[in-house]
Amino acid sequence: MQEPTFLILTALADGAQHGYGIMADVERISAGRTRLRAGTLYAALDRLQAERLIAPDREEVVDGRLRRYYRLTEDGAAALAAEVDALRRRTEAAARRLAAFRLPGGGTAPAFSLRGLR
Amino acid sequence: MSTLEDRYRRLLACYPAAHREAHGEEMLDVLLSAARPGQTRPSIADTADLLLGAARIRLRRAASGTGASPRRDALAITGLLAALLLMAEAARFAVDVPTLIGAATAQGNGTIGIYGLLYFFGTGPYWLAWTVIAVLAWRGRRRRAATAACAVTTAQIAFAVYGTALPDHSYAYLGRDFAGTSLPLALLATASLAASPGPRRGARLLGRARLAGAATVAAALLALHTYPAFSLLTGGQTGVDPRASMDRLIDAAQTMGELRAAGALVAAVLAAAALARDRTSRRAFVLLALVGAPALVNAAGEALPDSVPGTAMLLPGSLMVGTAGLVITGLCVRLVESPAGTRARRRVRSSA
Repeated sequence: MQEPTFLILTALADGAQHGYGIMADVERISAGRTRLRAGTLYAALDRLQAERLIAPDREEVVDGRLRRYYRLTEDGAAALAAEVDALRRRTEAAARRLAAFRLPGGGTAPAFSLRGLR
Repeated sequence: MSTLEDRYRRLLACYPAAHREAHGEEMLDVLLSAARPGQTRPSIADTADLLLGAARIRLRRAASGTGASPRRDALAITGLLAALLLMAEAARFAVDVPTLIGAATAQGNGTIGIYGLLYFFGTGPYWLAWTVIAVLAWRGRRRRAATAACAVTTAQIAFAVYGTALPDHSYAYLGRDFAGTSLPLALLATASLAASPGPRRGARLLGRARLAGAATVAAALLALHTYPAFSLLTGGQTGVDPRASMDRLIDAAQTMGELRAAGALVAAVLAAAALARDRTSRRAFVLLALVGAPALVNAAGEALPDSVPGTAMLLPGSLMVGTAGLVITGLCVRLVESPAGTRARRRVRSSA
């Protein structure tokens, strides 16, 4: 799963949101690292709808403009859950190996140097 | 002078028409919401991103060979609405069954024979069949539903043609029962099951609000056409004084005719309003005219005392009126969607 897809699904896991809401939420979730632009966002929304991972929820007219809300479908929630599971297994494997890692000089990996001091 | 909105609109023109129709306004809202205060031109990054997005959507649609087919989507919507109206008719039959049993037993001294049975309940199997088809389609058994619908509709056409062409032959009255509004409805529902993405897709396209509205209208129309509703108008009287009762029946029939005509008119206006929003819905509305036009003419015939009675409009008349309705609504939609119409609307929108 690509990162924009993952972030959009994560944003919608919190409830239905409209396009601009998703954009802002994705920026928040990724701690400002990923900023989706409209073209990328709507290409992703188009594909996710075709794959039935998200669905249009409701429409609102704000200041004379149409706002369409999208929600996560059951398939979408399942896909996100599978991705979360895969990511967790990967990070756990990485953490385990990193903890056992010894630099040739005898030190531990920098991220785990605290444990070495204890 | 071009505003930021105009410039974004020009960029959005690169998107496929169907996508623009569905998401154009929405994307414009997102783009303008994300714009900096006082911004007059799209940034280079946003421009590149929009063009790339358009290319990705076009590529994906070309590769999958699906998606961008407003005609099939329109047929899905129309098919769903036609099936809904067929179900309303089936429900009307079910509601009328007690009255029909009463009438049948009163006539034949308890034994009604094959003639009476067919006269009163001959359409029963037909409604049952469509109910089964609707359940199959809704549960995702598209292929089975389509096959059954084709078989039922072929039989219906045969009955309708028999009843209309040979009105003096035996059981021709039953054939004519099949030549009414249910025929174009069945044709649309069958075509939709066979050649569109299906009723679920139609329901998704319509959305919950419009679907609920359609169900309400169908229920109201069904209620207006039942015998119990009619007997409400006559005060449920069975006729102590035959003369007075007849007058009252004629009055009630006239009132009912007017109510039904008003109902049909309101339903048509509501359908036009609800389906005017996007290209796909407008095409669905054009297809619905095949049913709507003869239904309106029939309703007018019932309501206006000196016109040709609606029930006298037989199969060829209905087909002609339906086709005319199809052509006229189609032309109207073309006119509204013509470049001149679009430009005029855009002017109104930008000046507002």
